[in-house]
Amino acid sequence: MEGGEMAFDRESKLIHEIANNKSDQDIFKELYQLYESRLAVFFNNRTKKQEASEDLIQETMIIVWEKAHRFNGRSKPSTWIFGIAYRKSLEWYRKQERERRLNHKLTRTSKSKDKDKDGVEQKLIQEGIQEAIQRALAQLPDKYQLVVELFFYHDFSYREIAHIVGYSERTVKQWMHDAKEILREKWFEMRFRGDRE
Amino acid sequence: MNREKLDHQGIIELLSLYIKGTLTEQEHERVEAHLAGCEACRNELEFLQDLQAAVTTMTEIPTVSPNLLERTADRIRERNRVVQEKFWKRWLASLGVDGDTVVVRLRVRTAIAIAGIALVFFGLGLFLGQQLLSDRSVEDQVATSKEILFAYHTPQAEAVYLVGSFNGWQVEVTPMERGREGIWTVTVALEPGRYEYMFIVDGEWVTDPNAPRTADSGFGVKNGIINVAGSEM
Repeated sequence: MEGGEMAFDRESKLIHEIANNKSDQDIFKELYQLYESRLAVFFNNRTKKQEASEDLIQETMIIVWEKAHRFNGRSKPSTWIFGIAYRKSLEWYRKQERERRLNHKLTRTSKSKDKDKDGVEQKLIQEGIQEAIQRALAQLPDKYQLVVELFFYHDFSYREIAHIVGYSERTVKQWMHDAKEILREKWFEMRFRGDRE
Repeated sequence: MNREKLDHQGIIELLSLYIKGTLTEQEHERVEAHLAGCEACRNELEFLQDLQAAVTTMTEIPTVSPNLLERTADRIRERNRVVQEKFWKRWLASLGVDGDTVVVRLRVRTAIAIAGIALVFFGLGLFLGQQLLSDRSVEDQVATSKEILFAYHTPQAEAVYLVGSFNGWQVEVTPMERGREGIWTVTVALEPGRYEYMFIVDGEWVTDPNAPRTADSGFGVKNGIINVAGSEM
């Protein structure tokens, strides 16, 4: 825990140093290295594409550098940086959506998903509880996936997640509640399958 | 109200924090005592553990190009350059000069102007620096850093906020984080100066018992006072 708090102080300090000296690349690089893989996980889960993910990491960290003076220490550095990352991911979604609509108009895309449906059914029989949860999670609406990931993987609290996504804590808790409801059902099915048979 | 029932709902709420290990010792014990006698909660706990395991195992750290940091740093250098260029262009424009073509012609004149201004500021800086140095010994230097860590020990609290003259005494803008042993902390970046502050613990205004100094708030309680001295850099 002490280690965690020290890291958080160190990060705040780095951000303030960047704000005071924007041409010192070493300070920026240190902060960047603390966040590269966390942001890579975050963006990869949103975009599923390495190239897009790398662009977004760059853009996020450039904004961190540009707006470092706006960081006021009221939130944890990670909350602030993930808030920026989240808004970047929304921009990306919107751009994707626009492009998708445009493409849709140009060519009526063929549905290629039917093909692997049989494979999925087959796999379901053999997979364990974790895989079942993962599959169910991947099918949840984006906001539910996001809140589950931020909470369980990135270890943010509800309040911090609320700060990142710009919704109230109550809304974030509701999303988590809804997500859990769906996932719990799947879990029950898998967990007690043996008991019923 | 039925205490058992009340506790059950409360425990369900706490379970996700229980698996994250962020409960206070008391809460932790409460959860464990309840789990021993409640199958529904044990199921919920098992579900949450599986969920957490699923989330962490499905998330592989993706590969990132090894030169991504350098590329980002390059973009920043480029922006720095553009920003500086823009600054000078704007500065020239404010002198009534516009367009890139005039830049060359004006270089000598602007250079003289800049040198003149710089000289004035340098002199002023020297003078002020001397003044500050002589004042410094009198100021009480509670903190020389601009990063101020506020801490308050209150294990039972649900929510603690820091309020003070630095955030306009606005309630709920500076939440504190609960750490181990019920110590709540928040770090705030403060410019050098004198600030008054208090904690709000579950809605109640509390004076920091460890405040370096206190002053009457006018509301029958005392505000903590902190002096942030300028850092020597």
